[in-house]
Amino acid sequence: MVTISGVNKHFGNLHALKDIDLTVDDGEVVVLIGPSGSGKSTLCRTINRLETVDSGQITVNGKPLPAEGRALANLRADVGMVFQHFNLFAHLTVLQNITLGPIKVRRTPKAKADARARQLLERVGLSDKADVYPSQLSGGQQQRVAIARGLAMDPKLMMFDEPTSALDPEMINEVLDVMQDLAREGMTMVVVTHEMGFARRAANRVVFMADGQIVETAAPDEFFDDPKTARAQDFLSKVMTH
Amino acid sequence: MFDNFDLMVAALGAGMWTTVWVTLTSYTIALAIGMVLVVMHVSPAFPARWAANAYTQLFRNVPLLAVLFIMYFGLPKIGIVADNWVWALLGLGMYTGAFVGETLRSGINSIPLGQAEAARSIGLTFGQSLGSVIMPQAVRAVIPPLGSLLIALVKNSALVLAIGVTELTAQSRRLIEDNASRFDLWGVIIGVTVSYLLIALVLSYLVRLVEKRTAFVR
Repeated sequence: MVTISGVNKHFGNLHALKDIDLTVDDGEVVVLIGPSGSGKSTLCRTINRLETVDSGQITVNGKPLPAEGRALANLRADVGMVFQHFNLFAHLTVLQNITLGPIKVRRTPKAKADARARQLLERVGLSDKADVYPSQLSGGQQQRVAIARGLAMDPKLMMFDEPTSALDPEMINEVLDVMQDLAREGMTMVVVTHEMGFARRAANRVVFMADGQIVETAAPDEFFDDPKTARAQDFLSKVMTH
Repeated sequence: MFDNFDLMVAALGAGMWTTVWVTLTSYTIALAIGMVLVVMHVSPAFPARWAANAYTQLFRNVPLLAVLFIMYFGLPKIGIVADNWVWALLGLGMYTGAFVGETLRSGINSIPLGQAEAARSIGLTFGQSLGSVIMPQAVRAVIPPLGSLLIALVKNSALVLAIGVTELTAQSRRLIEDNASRFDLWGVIIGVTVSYLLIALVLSYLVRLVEKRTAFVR
């Protein structure tokens, strides 16, 4: 589904991504973990070219990422993205948030897009919120709408960039539950998160990054029970103690 | 004080009517120009950004009266001939358009980057995300300053008397300089003041109405 090979990225003097190679297979859930500033969000954002790369190649579905224009827009339509800060369209109702892409990009008739949006809202447990504005929802509810917005495009791949990092603790699980259902249904997912429990339960593979490099890749049980590298052992000892 | 009150009201009424339609027509032109400018400003194409900037600097930094004179006296000399009211509308519209463009640009800058990223991430093109996500929010954010520009335009429209358009201020001057001295100076001054206030207050009210109607829950 996604192949990343030899990708490098700089922010000024900071070498944010160093020779990244990563493949995500169809139906696979890959969880990126690592300390802040390790480049995991940046890597995630390069996959739909919200972040450009300096060198290396990224292909999605066998095709190299288009540079700009309509071809890139078409690719992004197939790659759902959920952001840390939800980024729901503030001037649109929940329903309009979900149907904007289908109507504008997929040219779905409005009635059909509305019906599908209501289905998705039911799926994320928010069928009564169709006509409210994003600011009237809690963080957890907003994030679930954002997931529904991504799913409305029938994406081949869903990316989650720290989807629970801006949430109150009690709202984290309602979002993780939706994500876990998605994973179980076979959605291909790339998830950047600090939720180790989610990584262990839902991931097929855990990718540990530090200082712009992929340090370790392993199945979740293997990674959490028996990390191979000192950097990963150090990281886990700090996040798993309580 | 209000000698020949009915004659004064008729003259000021005619002037008010001219001021109002000159203002509204040139404001429409200004909004259209401002919209084009702001799209050019945020466009990825460098020449478009350059041209928008050049236009803005030119029309923002030349006095409005000079703009009107250049059009009215200068352009006919190079073969571009039109009635004075055409130059009045164009001059006011093009001048105010530069300010509208800058106002809209500050509106765009007030919209969090995440909105544009989300728009792009669902596959909207540059134009679609501007039209469906960014501009609707940006315009709402700057309705109050756009309203101020409208009020400023009401007052700036007085300058077109210099190229022979008989709007409200021109009418009041006609009354003051009336050969038969049928009108009292203070009566005319009060009359013209009240007339401008009336126009500005009604327009302010309409702007507030638009602001309320288009508001969404934040």
